[in-house]
Amino acid sequence: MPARAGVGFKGEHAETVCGDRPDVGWFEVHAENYMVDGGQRLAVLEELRGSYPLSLHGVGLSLGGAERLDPDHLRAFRELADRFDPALISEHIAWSAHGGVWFADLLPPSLSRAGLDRLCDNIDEMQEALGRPILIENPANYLVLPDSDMNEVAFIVETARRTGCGLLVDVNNIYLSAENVGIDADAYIDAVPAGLIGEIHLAGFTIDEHAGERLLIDSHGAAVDAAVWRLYDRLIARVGPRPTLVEWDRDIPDWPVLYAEAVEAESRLARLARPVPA
Amino acid sequence: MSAPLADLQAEFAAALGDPSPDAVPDGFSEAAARRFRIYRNNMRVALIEALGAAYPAVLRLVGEPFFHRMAGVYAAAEPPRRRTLNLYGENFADFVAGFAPAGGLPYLADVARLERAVLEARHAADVPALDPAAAAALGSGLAAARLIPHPAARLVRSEYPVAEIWRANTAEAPAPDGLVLTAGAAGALVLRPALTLSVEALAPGRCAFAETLLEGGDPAAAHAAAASLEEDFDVILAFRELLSAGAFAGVANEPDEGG
Repeated sequence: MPARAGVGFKGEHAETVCGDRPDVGWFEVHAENYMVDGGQRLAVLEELRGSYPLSLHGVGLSLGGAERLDPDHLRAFRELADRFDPALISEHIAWSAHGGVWFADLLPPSLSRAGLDRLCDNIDEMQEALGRPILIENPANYLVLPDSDMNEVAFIVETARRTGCGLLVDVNNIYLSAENVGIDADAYIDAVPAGLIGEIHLAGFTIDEHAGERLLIDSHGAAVDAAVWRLYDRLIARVGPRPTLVEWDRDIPDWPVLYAEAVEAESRLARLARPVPA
Repeated sequence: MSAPLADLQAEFAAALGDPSPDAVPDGFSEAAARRFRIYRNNMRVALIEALGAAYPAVLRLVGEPFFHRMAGVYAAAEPPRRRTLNLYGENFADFVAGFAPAGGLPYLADVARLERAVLEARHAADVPALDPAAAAALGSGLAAARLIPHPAARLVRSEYPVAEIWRANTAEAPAPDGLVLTAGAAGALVLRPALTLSVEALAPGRCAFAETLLEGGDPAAAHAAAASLEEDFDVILAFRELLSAGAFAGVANEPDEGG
Protein backbone atom coordinates (compact mmCIF):
# COMPACT_ATOMS: atom_id res chain seq x y z
CA MET A 1 0.00 0.00 0.00
CA PRO A 2 1.49 3.37 -0.99
CA ALA A 3 2.20 5.77 1.91
CA ARG A 4 -0.27 8.20 0.44
CA ALA A 5 -3.67 9.58 1.38
CA GLY A 6 -6.61 7.27 0.75
CA VAL A 7 -10.34 7.87 0.93
CA GLY A 8 -13.15 5.87 2.49
CA PHE A 9 -15.22 4.88 -0.55
CA LYS A 10 -18.91 5.75 -0.57
CA GLY A 11 -21.50 4.66 -3.12
CA GLU A 12 -22.53 8.32 -3.43
CA HIS A 13 -19.19 9.01 -5.11
CA ALA A 14 -19.13 5.96 -7.37
CA GLU A 15 -19.97 7.83 -10.57
CA THR A 16 -17.38 10.55 -10.00
CA VAL A 17 -14.65 8.17 -8.90
CA CYS A 18 -15.20 5.53 -11.60
CA GLY A 19 -15.80 8.18 -14.26
CA ASP A 20 -13.07 10.72 -13.50
CA ARG A 21 -10.47 8.48 -11.82
CA PRO A 22 -9.27 11.22 -9.43
CA ASP A 23 -5.66 11.09 -8.24
CA VAL A 24 -6.20 9.33 -4.91
CA GLY A 25 -3.60 6.97 -3.44
CA TRP A 26 -6.07 4.22 -2.55
CA PHE A 27 -9.58 3.50 -1.30
CA GLU A 28 -10.90 1.73 1.78
CA VAL A 29 -14.24 -0.03 2.08
CA HIS A 30 -16.10 -1.59 4.99
CA ALA A 31 -16.08 -5.33 4.42
CA GLU A 32 -19.62 -5.72 5.78
CA ASN A 33 -21.07 -3.50 3.05
CA TYR A 34 -19.91 -5.97 0.42
CA MET A 35 -21.05 -9.23 1.99
CA VAL A 36 -23.77 -9.67 -0.60
CA ASP A 37 -24.28 -12.26 -3.32
CA GLY A 38 -24.02 -9.89 -6.26
CA GLY A 39 -25.27 -6.69 -7.82
CA GLN A 40 -24.11 -3.16 -8.51
CA ARG A 41 -22.14 -2.75 -5.31
CA LEU A 42 -19.75 -5.61 -5.99
CA ALA A 43 -19.50 -4.56 -9.65
CA VAL A 44 -18.40 -1.07 -8.58
CA LEU A 45 -15.84 -2.55 -6.17
CA GLU A 46 -14.40 -4.63 -9.02
CA GLU A 47 -14.05 -1.48 -11.07
CA LEU A 48 -12.49 0.42 -8.18
CA ARG A 49 -10.02 -2.34 -7.52
CA GLY A 50 -9.00 -2.26 -11.16
CA SER A 51 -7.78 1.33 -10.79
CA TYR A 52 -6.71 1.74 -7.15
CA PRO A 53 -5.12 -0.22 -4.32
CA LEU A 54 -7.79 -1.37 -1.90
CA SER A 55 -8.01 -1.64 1.88
CA LEU A 56 -10.64 -3.91 3.42
CA HIS A 57 -11.79 -2.68 6.82
CA GLY A 58 -13.99 -4.83 9.03
CA VAL A 59 -16.44 -3.47 11.58
CA GLY A 60 -18.30 -6.64 12.57
CA LEU A 61 -15.93 -9.38 13.69
CA SER A 62 -16.01 -8.29 17.35
CA LEU A 63 -12.35 -9.17 17.95
CA GLY A 64 -12.56 -7.73 21.46
CA GLY A 65 -15.53 -9.92 22.28
CA ALA A 66 -15.51 -12.52 25.05
CA GLU A 67 -17.06 -14.95 22.57
CA ARG A 68 -15.31 -16.81 19.78
CA LEU A 69 -15.51 -15.30 16.31
CA ASP A 70 -18.69 -15.91 14.34
CA PRO A 71 -17.66 -18.59 11.81
CA ASP A 72 -20.13 -17.44 9.13
CA HIS A 73 -18.95 -13.87 9.33
CA LEU A 74 -15.31 -14.92 9.26
CA ARG A 75 -16.01 -17.06 6.19
CA ALA A 76 -17.73 -14.15 4.44
CA PHE A 77 -14.75 -11.94 5.29
CA ARG A 78 -12.31 -14.48 3.88
CA GLU A 79 -14.32 -14.84 0.67
CA LEU A 80 -14.19 -11.09 0.13
CA ALA A 81 -10.47 -10.97 0.89
CA ASP A 82 -9.84 -13.84 -1.51
CA ARG A 83 -11.87 -12.23 -4.26
CA PHE A 84 -10.55 -8.66 -3.99
CA ASP A 85 -7.03 -9.35 -2.69
CA PRO A 86 -6.77 -6.04 -0.78
CA ALA A 87 -3.41 -4.46 0.00
CA LEU A 88 -4.46 -4.00 3.64
CA ILE A 89 -6.96 -5.72 5.95
CA SER A 90 -7.96 -4.20 9.27
CA GLU A 91 -10.40 -4.62 12.15
CA HIS A 92 -11.03 -3.11 15.58
CA ILE A 93 -10.03 -4.09 19.11
CA ALA A 94 -13.59 -3.24 20.12
CA TRP A 95 -16.38 -5.78 20.51
CA SER A 96 -19.77 -5.54 18.83
CA ALA A 97 -21.66 -8.78 19.32
CA HIS A 98 -22.86 -10.95 22.17
CA GLY A 99 -25.30 -13.84 22.50
CA GLY A 100 -26.17 -13.84 18.81
CA VAL A 101 -27.04 -10.13 18.65
CA TRP A 102 -24.93 -7.59 16.77
CA PHE A 103 -24.92 -4.09 18.22
CA ALA A 104 -23.92 -2.12 15.10
CA ASP A 105 -21.45 -0.11 17.15
CA LEU A 106 -17.91 -0.47 18.47
CA LEU A 107 -18.17 -1.23 22.18
CA PRO A 108 -15.35 -0.53 24.65
CA PRO A 109 -12.78 -3.29 25.02
CA SER A 110 -11.66 -4.56 28.40
CA LEU A 111 -8.08 -3.31 28.74
CA SER A 112 -7.17 -6.17 31.07
CA ARG A 113 -5.10 -9.37 30.98
CA ALA A 114 -8.24 -11.41 30.31
CA GLY A 115 -9.29 -8.99 27.57
CA LEU A 116 -5.86 -9.11 26.00
CA ASP A 117 -5.74 -12.92 25.97
CA ARG A 118 -9.17 -13.14 24.36
CA LEU A 119 -8.34 -10.45 21.77
CA CYS A 120 -5.10 -12.22 20.85
CA ASP A 121 -6.90 -15.54 20.39
CA ASN A 122 -9.47 -13.88 18.14
CA ILE A 123 -6.80 -12.09 16.08
CA ASP A 124 -4.89 -15.37 15.74
CA GLU A 125 -8.03 -17.02 14.42
CA MET A 126 -8.73 -14.23 11.96
CA GLN A 127 -5.14 -14.12 10.68
CA GLU A 128 -5.11 -17.88 10.34
CA ALA A 129 -8.36 -17.85 8.37
CA LEU A 130 -7.08 -15.11 6.07
CA GLY A 131 -3.55 -16.47 5.83
CA ARG A 132 -2.09 -13.01 6.36
CA PRO A 133 -1.53 -10.43 9.09
CA ILE A 134 -4.11 -7.75 9.80
CA LEU A 135 -4.00 -4.28 11.35
CA ILE A 136 -5.98 -3.51 14.51
CA GLU A 137 -7.54 -0.15 15.27
CA ASN A 138 -7.85 1.74 18.56
CA PRO A 139 -11.44 2.74 19.45
CA ALA A 140 -13.01 6.07 20.32
CA ASN A 141 -13.71 5.74 24.04
CA TYR A 142 -16.63 7.25 25.90
CA LEU A 143 -16.03 5.30 29.09
CA VAL A 144 -13.46 2.98 30.64
CA LEU A 145 -14.85 -0.40 31.66
CA PRO A 146 -14.53 -1.25 35.37
CA ASP A 147 -12.17 -4.15 34.63
CA SER A 148 -9.75 -2.07 32.52
CA ASP A 149 -6.44 -1.73 34.33
CA MET A 150 -3.98 -1.39 31.43
CA ASN A 151 -2.88 1.61 29.45
CA GLU A 152 -4.38 1.38 25.93
CA VAL A 153 -1.07 1.85 24.10
CA ALA A 154 0.62 -0.83 26.16
CA PHE A 155 -2.42 -3.06 25.53
CA ILE A 156 -2.40 -2.74 21.73
CA VAL A 157 1.39 -2.92 21.46
CA GLU A 158 1.51 -6.14 23.45
CA THR A 159 -1.35 -7.51 21.34
CA ALA A 160 0.57 -6.71 18.15
CA ARG A 161 3.80 -8.25 19.48
CA ARG A 162 2.00 -11.43 20.51
CA THR A 163 -0.06 -11.95 17.37
CA GLY A 164 2.20 -10.45 14.72
CA CYS A 165 -0.52 -8.04 13.61
CA GLY A 166 0.16 -4.38 12.86
CA LEU A 167 -1.55 -1.23 14.07
CA LEU A 168 -4.04 1.06 12.44
CA VAL A 169 -3.66 4.26 14.43
CA ASP A 170 -6.88 6.26 14.44
CA VAL A 171 -5.69 9.73 15.38
CA ASN A 172 -9.23 11.08 15.68
CA ASN A 173 -10.07 8.30 18.14
CA ILE A 174 -7.00 9.12 20.24
CA TYR A 175 -8.09 12.75 20.40
CA LEU A 176 -11.66 11.77 21.33
CA SER A 177 -10.46 9.36 24.01
CA ALA A 178 -8.24 12.10 25.42
CA GLU A 179 -11.14 14.54 25.60
CA ASN A 180 -13.72 12.00 26.78
CA VAL A 181 -11.86 9.82 29.27
CA GLY A 182 -8.80 11.89 29.99
CA ILE A 183 -5.87 10.03 28.46
CA ASP A 184 -2.84 12.03 27.29
CA ALA A 185 -3.09 12.23 23.50
CA ASP A 186 0.46 13.49 22.89
CA ALA A 187 1.93 10.76 25.09
CA TYR A 188 -0.21 8.16 23.24
CA ILE A 189 0.93 9.43 19.83
CA ASP A 190 4.57 9.40 20.99
CA ALA A 191 4.38 5.90 22.43
CA VAL A 192 3.19 3.92 19.40
CA PRO A 193 6.17 2.06 17.94
CA ALA A 194 6.82 3.26 14.38
CA GLY A 195 7.55 -0.24 13.14
CA LEU A 196 4.07 -1.47 14.01
CA ILE A 197 2.09 1.26 12.24
CA GLY A 198 0.63 0.09 8.93
CA GLU A 199 -2.10 2.69 8.47
CA ILE A 200 -3.50 5.90 9.95
CA HIS A 201 -7.16 6.97 10.12
CA LEU A 202 -8.42 10.56 10.17
CA ALA A 203 -12.06 11.62 10.54
CA GLY A 204 -14.32 14.31 11.90
CA PHE A 205 -16.29 14.25 15.14
CA THR A 206 -19.35 15.98 16.51
CA ILE A 207 -19.75 17.63 19.90
CA ASP A 208 -22.51 16.42 22.19
CA GLU A 209 -23.36 18.69 25.07
CA HIS A 210 -25.78 17.19 27.52
CA ALA A 211 -26.48 17.94 31.16
CA GLY A 212 -23.40 20.09 31.48
CA GLU A 213 -21.13 17.42 30.06
CA ARG A 214 -19.24 17.89 26.82
CA LEU A 215 -18.45 14.73 24.86
CA LEU A 216 -16.89 14.25 21.46
CA ILE A 217 -18.69 11.68 19.35
CA ASP A 218 -16.93 9.70 16.63
CA SER A 219 -19.52 10.56 14.00
CA HIS A 220 -17.36 10.50 10.85
CA GLY A 221 -19.69 13.25 9.76
CA ALA A 222 -17.47 16.34 9.55
CA ALA A 223 -14.11 17.62 8.33
CA VAL A 224 -10.98 16.64 10.25
CA ASP A 225 -10.55 18.96 13.24
CA ALA A 226 -7.50 21.24 13.60
CA ALA A 227 -6.53 19.49 16.85
CA VAL A 228 -6.55 16.13 15.05
CA TRP A 229 -4.42 17.48 12.21
CA ARG A 230 -1.94 18.67 14.86
CA LEU A 231 -1.73 15.16 16.36
CA TYR A 232 -1.37 13.71 12.88
CA ASP A 233 1.53 16.05 12.12
CA ARG A 234 3.19 15.01 15.35
CA LEU A 235 2.79 11.32 14.49
CA ILE A 236 4.04 11.39 10.91
CA ALA A 237 6.92 13.72 11.76
CA ARG A 238 8.15 11.01 14.09
CA VAL A 239 7.30 7.76 12.29
CA GLY A 240 7.50 8.82 8.66
CA PRO A 241 4.90 8.51 5.90
CA ARG A 242 2.09 5.96 6.27
CA PRO A 243 -1.03 5.20 4.25
CA THR A 244 -3.53 7.69 5.68
CA LEU A 245 -7.28 7.34 5.31
CA VAL A 246 -9.79 10.15 5.39
CA GLU A 247 -13.16 8.77 6.58
CA TRP A 248 -16.50 10.51 6.12
CA ASP A 249 -19.46 8.17 6.60
CA ARG A 250 -22.37 10.37 7.66
CA ASP A 251 -23.73 13.60 6.11
CA ILE A 252 -21.50 12.65 3.21
CA PRO A 253 -20.29 15.71 1.30
CA ASP A 254 -19.83 16.10 -2.44
CA TRP A 255 -16.67 14.49 -3.75
CA PRO A 256 -14.58 17.72 -3.99
CA VAL A 257 -14.96 18.36 -0.24
CA LEU A 258 -13.78 14.86 0.65
CA TYR A 259 -11.04 14.97 -1.97
CA ALA A 260 -9.76 18.24 -0.47
CA GLU A 261 -9.30 16.44 2.85
CA ALA A 262 -7.21 13.78 1.14
CA VAL A 263 -5.14 16.46 -0.62
CA GLU A 264 -4.57 18.12 2.76
CA ALA A 265 -3.36 14.84 4.28
CA GLU A 266 -1.10 14.27 1.31
CA SER A 267 0.45 17.73 1.55
CA ARG A 268 1.24 17.09 5.22
CA LEU A 269 2.75 13.71 4.34
CA ALA A 270 4.99 15.43 1.79
CA ARG A 271 5.94 18.29 4.10
CA LEU A 272 6.40 16.56 7.43
CA ALA A 273 6.92 12.88 7.00
CA ARG A 274 10.47 12.25 6.00
CA PRO A 275 11.11 8.57 5.50
CA VAL A 276 12.72 7.24 8.66
CA PRO A 277 15.59 4.81 8.14
CA ALA A 278 14.62 1.38 9.37
CA MET B 1 -12.33 -7.48 42.27
CA SER B 2 -13.19 -7.18 38.59
CA ALA B 3 -15.92 -9.14 36.86
CA PRO B 4 -14.74 -11.74 34.38
CA LEU B 5 -14.74 -10.51 30.81
CA ALA B 6 -17.70 -12.60 29.67
CA ASP B 7 -19.90 -11.49 32.60
CA LEU B 8 -19.09 -7.85 32.02
CA GLN B 9 -19.92 -8.04 28.31
CA ALA B 10 -23.09 -9.99 29.08
CA GLU B 11 -24.16 -7.22 31.47
CA PHE B 12 -23.34 -4.55 28.92
CA ALA B 13 -25.17 -6.42 26.17
CA ALA B 14 -28.24 -6.99 28.35
CA ALA B 15 -28.45 -3.29 29.17
CA LEU B 16 -28.11 -2.41 25.46
CA GLY B 17 -30.92 -4.81 24.65
CA ASP B 18 -33.18 -3.66 27.48
CA PRO B 19 -36.21 -1.81 26.11
CA SER B 20 -36.03 0.72 28.94
CA PRO B 21 -33.98 3.75 27.88
CA ASP B 22 -32.75 4.05 31.48
CA ALA B 23 -31.19 0.58 31.59
CA VAL B 24 -27.48 0.54 32.44
CA PRO B 25 -25.09 -2.28 33.28
CA ASP B 26 -25.05 -3.28 36.95
CA GLY B 27 -22.41 -1.56 39.01
CA PHE B 28 -21.93 1.40 36.66
CA SER B 29 -21.48 4.75 38.37
CA GLU B 30 -23.80 7.60 37.46
CA ALA B 31 -21.10 9.12 35.23
CA ALA B 32 -20.45 5.78 33.50
CA ALA B 33 -24.19 5.28 33.06
CA ARG B 34 -24.43 8.61 31.25
CA ARG B 35 -21.60 7.56 28.94
CA PHE B 36 -23.19 4.16 28.42
CA ARG B 37 -26.18 5.85 26.82
CA ILE B 38 -23.95 7.05 23.98
CA TYR B 39 -23.41 3.45 22.89
CA ARG B 40 -27.12 2.80 23.24
CA ASN B 41 -27.91 5.82 21.11
CA ASN B 42 -25.23 4.95 18.51
CA MET B 43 -26.80 1.54 18.07
CA ARG B 44 -30.29 2.94 17.80
CA VAL B 45 -29.27 5.58 15.26
CA ALA B 46 -27.29 3.08 13.17
CA LEU B 47 -30.26 0.72 12.96
CA ILE B 48 -32.77 3.47 12.18
CA GLU B 49 -30.48 4.83 9.46
CA ALA B 50 -30.10 1.33 8.00
CA LEU B 51 -33.89 0.93 7.89
CA GLY B 52 -34.27 4.36 6.32
CA ALA B 53 -31.80 3.39 3.60
CA ALA B 54 -33.60 0.09 2.98
CA TYR B 55 -37.15 1.53 3.10
CA PRO B 56 -36.90 5.02 1.54
CA ALA B 57 -40.46 5.05 0.17
CA VAL B 58 -41.95 4.07 3.54
CA LEU B 59 -39.86 6.85 5.11
CA ARG B 60 -41.12 9.37 2.58
CA LEU B 61 -44.73 8.27 2.94
CA VAL B 62 -44.81 8.67 6.72
CA GLY B 63 -42.24 11.45 7.16
CA GLU B 64 -39.02 11.37 9.15
CA PRO B 65 -40.31 11.84 12.71
CA PHE B 66 -42.89 9.08 12.37
CA PHE B 67 -40.44 6.78 10.60
CA HIS B 68 -37.83 7.28 13.33
CA ARG B 69 -40.35 6.38 16.00
CA MET B 70 -41.60 3.32 14.11
CA ALA B 71 -38.08 2.16 13.17
CA GLY B 72 -36.91 2.74 16.74
CA VAL B 73 -39.60 0.43 18.10
CA TYR B 74 -38.69 -2.19 15.51
CA ALA B 75 -34.94 -1.87 16.19
CA ALA B 76 -35.47 -2.35 19.93
CA ALA B 77 -37.58 -5.45 19.35
CA GLU B 78 -35.55 -6.95 16.50
CA PRO B 79 -31.84 -6.17 16.85
CA PRO B 80 -29.70 -7.53 14.01
CA ARG B 81 -28.58 -11.13 14.18
CA ARG B 82 -26.30 -10.73 11.18
CA ARG B 83 -23.34 -8.36 11.19
CA THR B 84 -24.28 -6.56 8.03
CA LEU B 85 -26.64 -3.62 7.91
CA ASN B 86 -27.32 -3.86 4.15
CA LEU B 87 -29.95 -6.48 4.62
CA TYR B 88 -31.16 -5.54 8.09
CA GLY B 89 -34.92 -5.34 8.58
CA GLU B 90 -35.95 -8.63 7.03
CA ASN B 91 -39.40 -8.68 8.65
CA PHE B 92 -39.93 -4.93 8.89
CA ALA B 93 -42.99 -5.16 6.61
CA ASP B 94 -44.72 -7.57 9.00
CA PHE B 95 -43.91 -5.22 11.84
CA VAL B 96 -45.32 -2.25 9.90
CA ALA B 97 -48.50 -4.24 9.23
CA GLY B 98 -48.99 -4.64 12.97
CA PHE B 99 -47.86 -1.14 13.97
CA ALA B 100 -51.14 0.42 15.07
CA PRO B 101 -50.16 4.10 14.63
CA ALA B 102 -49.59 3.38 10.90
CA GLY B 103 -53.10 1.94 10.53
CA GLY B 104 -54.25 4.97 8.53
CA LEU B 105 -52.02 3.91 5.64
CA PRO B 106 -53.29 0.37 4.88
CA TYR B 107 -50.92 0.00 1.90
CA LEU B 108 -47.79 0.88 3.90
CA ALA B 109 -46.85 -2.70 4.79
CA ASP B 110 -47.16 -3.75 1.15
CA VAL B 111 -44.89 -0.87 0.09
CA ALA B 112 -42.41 -2.13 2.70
CA ARG B 113 -42.72 -5.64 1.26
CA LEU B 114 -41.95 -4.27 -2.19
CA GLU B 115 -38.95 -2.30 -0.87
CA ARG B 116 -37.62 -5.46 0.77
CA ALA B 117 -38.00 -7.29 -2.54
CA VAL B 118 -36.15 -4.47 -4.30
CA LEU B 119 -33.35 -4.58 -1.72
CA GLU B 120 -32.96 -8.34 -2.02
CA ALA B 121 -33.02 -8.10 -5.80
CA ARG B 122 -30.27 -5.48 -5.78
CA HIS B 123 -27.96 -7.72 -3.77
CA ALA B 124 -28.93 -11.06 -5.32
CA ALA B 125 -26.43 -13.28 -7.11
CA ASP B 126 -25.34 -12.26 -10.60
CA VAL B 127 -26.71 -15.01 -12.78
CA PRO B 128 -27.42 -14.70 -16.52
CA ALA B 129 -31.08 -14.82 -17.41
CA LEU B 130 -32.44 -17.77 -19.39
CA ASP B 131 -32.11 -17.08 -23.10
CA PRO B 132 -35.65 -16.93 -24.54
CA ALA B 133 -34.39 -18.92 -27.53
CA ALA B 134 -33.38 -21.77 -25.20
CA ALA B 135 -36.90 -21.84 -23.80
CA ALA B 136 -38.40 -21.71 -27.29
CA ALA B 137 -36.20 -24.65 -28.31
CA LEU B 138 -38.11 -26.85 -25.86
CA GLY B 139 -41.03 -26.66 -28.28
CA SER B 140 -44.18 -28.40 -27.14
CA GLY B 141 -42.30 -29.76 -24.09
CA LEU B 142 -42.27 -26.24 -22.69
CA ALA B 143 -45.75 -26.59 -21.22
CA ALA B 144 -44.51 -29.18 -18.73
CA ALA B 145 -41.03 -27.70 -18.12
CA ARG B 146 -40.04 -26.35 -14.74
CA LEU B 147 -38.31 -22.99 -14.93
CA ILE B 148 -35.72 -21.94 -12.37
CA PRO B 149 -36.55 -18.46 -11.07
CA HIS B 150 -33.77 -15.90 -11.43
CA PRO B 151 -32.22 -15.29 -7.97
CA ALA B 152 -33.25 -11.63 -8.10
CA ALA B 153 -36.88 -12.31 -9.09
CA ARG B 154 -39.48 -11.36 -6.46
CA LEU B 155 -43.24 -11.07 -6.73
CA VAL B 156 -45.13 -8.98 -4.21
CA ARG B 157 -48.88 -9.42 -4.08
CA SER B 158 -50.97 -6.46 -3.03
CA GLU B 159 -54.49 -5.14 -3.32
CA TYR B 160 -52.93 -1.70 -3.66
CA PRO B 161 -51.01 -0.22 -6.60
CA VAL B 162 -47.68 -0.67 -4.78
CA ALA B 163 -45.46 -0.38 -7.84
CA GLU B 164 -46.80 3.11 -8.59
CA ILE B 165 -46.74 4.17 -4.96
CA TRP B 166 -43.16 2.99 -4.69
CA ARG B 167 -42.10 4.69 -7.91
CA ALA B 168 -43.66 7.97 -6.87
CA ASN B 169 -41.84 7.88 -3.54
CA THR B 170 -38.31 6.92 -4.44
CA ALA B 171 -35.53 8.53 -6.38
CA GLU B 172 -35.72 5.64 -8.85
CA ALA B 173 -37.93 7.76 -11.04
CA PRO B 174 -39.14 11.32 -10.72
CA ALA B 175 -42.53 11.55 -9.02
CA PRO B 176 -45.25 12.07 -11.61
CA ASP B 177 -47.54 15.10 -11.26
CA GLY B 178 -50.43 12.88 -10.41
CA LEU B 179 -50.14 9.30 -9.34
CA VAL B 180 -51.24 7.07 -12.21
CA LEU B 181 -52.71 3.98 -10.66
CA THR B 182 -53.05 0.76 -12.56
CA ALA B 183 -56.65 -0.24 -12.21
CA GLY B 184 -56.96 -3.62 -10.61
CA ALA B 185 -53.27 -4.39 -10.25
CA ALA B 186 -52.71 -7.51 -8.20
CA GLY B 187 -49.03 -7.20 -7.47
CA ALA B 188 -45.60 -6.05 -8.53
CA LEU B 189 -42.81 -8.01 -10.16
CA VAL B 190 -39.21 -7.14 -9.27
CA LEU B 191 -36.45 -8.31 -11.60
CA ARG B 192 -32.76 -7.60 -11.95
CA PRO B 193 -31.36 -9.96 -14.60
CA ALA B 194 -28.18 -7.90 -15.09
CA LEU B 195 -27.50 -4.74 -13.09
CA THR B 196 -30.67 -2.86 -14.03
CA LEU B 197 -33.62 -3.18 -11.70
CA SER B 198 -37.19 -3.29 -13.01
CA VAL B 199 -40.39 -3.02 -11.00
CA GLU B 200 -43.59 -3.69 -12.91
CA ALA B 201 -47.23 -3.66 -11.86
CA LEU B 202 -49.07 -6.85 -12.78
CA ALA B 203 -52.76 -7.32 -13.57
CA PRO B 204 -54.41 -10.34 -11.87
CA GLY B 205 -53.89 -12.78 -14.74
CA ARG B 206 -50.22 -11.97 -15.20
CA CYS B 207 -49.72 -11.94 -11.48
CA ALA B 208 -51.11 -15.47 -11.09
CA PHE B 209 -49.12 -16.60 -14.14
CA ALA B 210 -45.81 -15.21 -12.87
CA GLU B 211 -46.46 -16.37 -9.32
CA THR B 212 -47.14 -19.95 -10.37
CA LEU B 213 -43.98 -20.07 -12.47
CA LEU B 214 -41.78 -18.43 -9.82
CA GLU B 215 -43.06 -20.92 -7.26
CA GLY B 216 -42.00 -23.80 -9.47
CA GLY B 217 -45.25 -24.60 -11.27
CA ASP B 218 -45.06 -25.50 -14.95
CA PRO B 219 -46.30 -23.19 -17.72
CA ALA B 220 -49.45 -25.26 -18.24
CA ALA B 221 -50.43 -24.83 -14.58
CA ALA B 222 -49.52 -21.12 -14.73
CA HIS B 223 -51.73 -20.70 -17.79
CA ALA B 224 -54.63 -22.40 -16.03
CA ALA B 225 -54.22 -20.13 -12.99
CA ALA B 226 -54.20 -17.02 -15.18
CA ALA B 227 -57.06 -18.12 -17.41
CA SER B 228 -59.28 -18.68 -14.38
CA LEU B 229 -58.95 -14.94 -13.66
CA GLU B 230 -58.85 -13.54 -17.22
CA GLU B 231 -60.89 -15.35 -19.83
CA ASP B 232 -58.90 -14.12 -22.83
CA PHE B 233 -55.47 -14.32 -21.14
CA ASP B 234 -52.73 -14.16 -23.78
CA VAL B 235 -50.36 -16.80 -22.46
CA ILE B 236 -47.89 -16.57 -25.35
CA LEU B 237 -47.42 -12.84 -24.91
CA ALA B 238 -47.21 -13.05 -21.11
CA PHE B 239 -44.66 -15.82 -21.28
CA ARG B 240 -42.54 -14.06 -23.89
CA GLU B 241 -42.50 -10.90 -21.81
CA LEU B 242 -41.50 -12.71 -18.63
CA LEU B 243 -38.71 -14.51 -20.44
CA SER B 244 -37.30 -11.43 -22.10
CA ALA B 245 -37.54 -9.43 -18.86
CA GLY B 246 -35.21 -11.97 -17.24
CA ALA B 247 -37.47 -13.69 -14.72
CA PHE B 248 -35.76 -17.08 -15.10
CA ALA B 249 -32.26 -18.43 -14.81
CA GLY B 250 -32.72 -21.80 -16.48
CA VAL B 251 -34.83 -24.90 -17.02
CA ALA B 252 -34.81 -27.40 -14.16
CA ASN B 253 -35.71 -30.51 -16.07
CA GLU B 254 -36.19 -31.60 -19.61
CA PRO B 255 -39.91 -32.27 -19.96
CA ASP B 256 -39.36 -35.77 -21.29
CA GLU B 257 -37.69 -36.73 -18.00
CA GLY B 258 -41.07 -36.39 -16.36
CA GLY B 259 -41.36 -35.00 -12.86
